Amino acid sequence: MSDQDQPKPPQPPAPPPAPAPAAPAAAKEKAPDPLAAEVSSPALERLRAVHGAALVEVRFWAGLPLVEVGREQLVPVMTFLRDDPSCRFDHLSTCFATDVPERAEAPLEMTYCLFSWPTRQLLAVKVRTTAETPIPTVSAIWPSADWNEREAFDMVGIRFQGHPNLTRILLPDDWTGHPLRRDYPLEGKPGDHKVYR
Amino acid sequence: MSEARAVVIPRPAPLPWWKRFFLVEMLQGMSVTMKHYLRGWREPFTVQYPEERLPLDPRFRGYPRLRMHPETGDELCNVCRQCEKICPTLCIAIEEEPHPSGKGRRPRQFTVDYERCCQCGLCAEACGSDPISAIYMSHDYELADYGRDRFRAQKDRLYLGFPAPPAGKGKAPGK
Amino acid sequence: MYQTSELEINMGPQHPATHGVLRLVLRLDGETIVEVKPVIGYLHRGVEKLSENRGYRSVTPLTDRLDYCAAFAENHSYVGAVEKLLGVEVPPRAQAMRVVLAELQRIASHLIWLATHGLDIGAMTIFLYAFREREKCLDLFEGYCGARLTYNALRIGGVPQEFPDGWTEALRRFLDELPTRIAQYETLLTGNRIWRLRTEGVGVIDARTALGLGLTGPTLRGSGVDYDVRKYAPYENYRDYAFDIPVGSKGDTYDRYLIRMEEMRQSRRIILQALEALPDGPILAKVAGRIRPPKGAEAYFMTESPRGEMSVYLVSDGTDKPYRVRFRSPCFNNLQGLPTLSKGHMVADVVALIGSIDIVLGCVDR
Ligand code: SF4
Ligand code: SF4
Repeated sequence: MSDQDQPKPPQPPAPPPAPAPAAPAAAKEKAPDPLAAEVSSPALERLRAVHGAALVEVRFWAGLPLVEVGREQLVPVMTFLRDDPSCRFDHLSTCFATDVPERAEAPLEMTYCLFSWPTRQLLAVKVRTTAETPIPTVSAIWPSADWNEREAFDMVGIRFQGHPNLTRILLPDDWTGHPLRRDYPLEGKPGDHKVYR
Repeated sequence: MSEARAVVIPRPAPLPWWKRFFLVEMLQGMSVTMKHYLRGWREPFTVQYPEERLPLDPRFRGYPRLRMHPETGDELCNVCRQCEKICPTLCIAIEEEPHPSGKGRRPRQFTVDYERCCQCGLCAEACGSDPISAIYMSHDYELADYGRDRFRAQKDRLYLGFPAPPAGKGKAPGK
Repeated sequence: MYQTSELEINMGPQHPATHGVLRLVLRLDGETIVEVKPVIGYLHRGVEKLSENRGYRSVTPLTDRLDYCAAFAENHSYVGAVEKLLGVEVPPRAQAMRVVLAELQRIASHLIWLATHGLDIGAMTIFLYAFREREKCLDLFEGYCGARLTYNALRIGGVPQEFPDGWTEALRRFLDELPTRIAQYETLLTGNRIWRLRTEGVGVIDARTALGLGLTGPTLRGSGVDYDVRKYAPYENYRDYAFDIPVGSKGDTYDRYLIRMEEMRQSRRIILQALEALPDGPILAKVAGRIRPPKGAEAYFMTESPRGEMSVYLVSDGTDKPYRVRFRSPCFNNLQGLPTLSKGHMVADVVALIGSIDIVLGCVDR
């Protein structure tokens, strides 16, 4: 466990530039880290060709394309990704929310991990929003998003437009706050749990 | 290089009429049960727990304990706090003091909250003491007690089997 | 003349057939199910929040507690995600050892599934027999890593220790007797009239629906989709082994039963191949003592756990603690299919269905 040499330089690569609201799709990240190298992805090529204007940012890490799309274009992009013959992302592996308070303009982020087993591609699609602005639900495209989006609502507080049943799923219905927000204390707020400790 | 193949599992044919009576399966099932029953007389699979115990494996991870230097009998722990840092349940607390010999430090009090410890063994792996890890995974696994405060194991309990810290010679426990 | 009214009843949270603390709100018409609403969260421990506050190395023991019947699979996907994040290449020997342990875990997990599923439907004998064999798997795990349930058996970059002396022989002995044991279980169940009547045609789900609902693992393969992460996104050295992926033809509970039985045999086959060709060499890749992936690094690592696709998404912010850890639990997604599966069946079938989707509530609630 005490190995000194590290396989790659520990310096973090230049952080991705703050996304301009409608940056061109061709904006590629210049990062020194070999892991951030671009990989060829037929699905991404198709996406760029058809929905290029919807892509806010594209970057890569360890072979995983991370695509950020605008909130409004989420449903058309996702429908395209599912139905296009060179994408065929039949399987919404998971989707989850992240809270990034440093990005004040849109602190909440929803990540959708898509896997297409017929074409063996993996793609992560991201959408950014705020606590007040709902994002459209994808549960009509993949029914499996239903519970995952409820969990995102429960844990981080993202609202989904058109979700059939947006209630808390893991926490009790009368819970206040969203535990996976960064400012939520790890051991809970006083009065959160009334169990003996 | 071989690829995994998908094969469709054949389903058994619909039940023939003579299988529609329970009798055949009953006899088949009974024969399996009977075989096990007879075998159980010869070599029982269960053990009568508190009286009889299964042997523990050498790598078994019970509750963590401390040990002393196998030769000098001195405390091995040099308060490097690696165990404290890696512990996922944050159950180790160490108060340090300078070592009486003037060199280095030693723990004045060492507390492991057995109630929280999950016996993951990371502390023993991370321990940086020389020549063996000061904290090690004992073979202790029974911990029923009367009251929560009794789970906070301190030096007297952690050094079980060793003489009181400052005096005497210690031995590495048989592992 | 007759008038029926719908009745709403609670099943669980403390119900022996729900495999933990799952509450099902059933709307019934007579004994027929109109709607099932799973209510989960009774076992929520906030593992994702906890992981954000621990170092990368200290998260592995937390993952043990997700799916406590297959802790190795959870360790595996977490550790694999960190390795992907760092770009660490696992040495070949460690890869083969991971495959051996992962497949042993699959056998152990399917055995406990068989035991409880049988018990739910009323086959009491099978419970004891399957537990006996599972006990041997646990003994093997104890010999390897020192714990019987919460293994913490992997480290970032490889495996922490070699197989102990005599371990592979003990494993081979276990594998030698496994086929006869499975044959015995099959004598008790496969052709059994009660078993077949309780499982055949119960919970039929077609491939499209199953895929859309995010079902994975044997639950999806029962519907005839051969989606197995070991085949479609191979990790470790699964590419090197020849094995079959059993798929079903009808998509009912009986198919899912047959698939899991066959998977145990296939796991045995993989272990034997892996033991045969166990490469020599180091077992732990060189990883920095303090793990600090660069800011903005994100990785998604999928594994095929006994219950389905178990994957971990990691986000790093350049510190020594993960910024966000997402555990994609197969049970959570499989349970989502329960309302669809159980529509129109009887109350007693719900018990069979919970068993057949094979959930562990620790994994559902995280
Ligand atoms: S075994 Fe694990 S939980 Fe227990 S003290 Fe050591 S590091 Fe902490
Ligand atoms: S890691 Fe070992 S030497 Fe360091 S403080 Fe813990 S017990 Fe003492």
